[in-house]
Amino acid sequence: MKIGILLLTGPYQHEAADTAYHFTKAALARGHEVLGVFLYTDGVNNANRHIAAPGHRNLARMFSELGAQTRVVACGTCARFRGLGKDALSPGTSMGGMGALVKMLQDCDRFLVFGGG
Amino acid sequence: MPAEATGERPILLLFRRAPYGTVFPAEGLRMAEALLAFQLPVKAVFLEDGVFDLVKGQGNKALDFGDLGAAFAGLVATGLKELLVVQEDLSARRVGIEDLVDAPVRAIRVTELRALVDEAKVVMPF
Repeated sequence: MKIGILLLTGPYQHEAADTAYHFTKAALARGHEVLGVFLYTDGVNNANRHIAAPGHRNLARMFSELGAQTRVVACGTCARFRGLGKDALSPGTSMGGMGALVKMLQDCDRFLVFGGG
Repeated sequence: MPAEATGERPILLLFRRAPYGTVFPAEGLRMAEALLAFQLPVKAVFLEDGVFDLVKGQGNKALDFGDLGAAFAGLVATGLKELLVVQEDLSARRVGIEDLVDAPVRAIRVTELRALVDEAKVVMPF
């Protein structure tokens, strides 16, 4: 199955980022094709390479790890609004426009949203 | 040709939050604008406190907050057929359909929402 994922919340405040990460890992492990994880609104902060969480899980590294297996794309406009430049993105993640999300929506069999309203 | 005319299953945007308290209504609006720009079939339903997103005469210039209601009404000019609002949630908040923006707004029963969710390819809550 082709799966697309949208993440709407940032790191640590809520559990949605962790859930999106673990869901993606599980889907890939089961042989599903994850077309990508699109980080929207505060979700872009999960790709901030400056995250430091001594002694705890580092969400930026976790999403970097996902980036080696699927596309992890941060919404460029959302990132700019939050002062997150390309140079601050963690390895394996990238910045993209809504066109990347639209492609995912068109090509997926299932699309899941984590966090948000 | 608009995707809706091809029989493509719609993307259903659910607006559940009041304007200005969180970023979600504004970001949902931006999502709707983007999807419509790419000619994807979009349906928008306003429910729970999201019914306040459509109240006319919003905005606060002193706080640099624009009129979200007017912006939602503007979606109709970019390809959205209508704005759907849940009647029960309007009634619970003592908001009348006449209090809403001047745009094609249609009140639906909450039971109709189930059919909209069933037909949608994707549901995005904001």
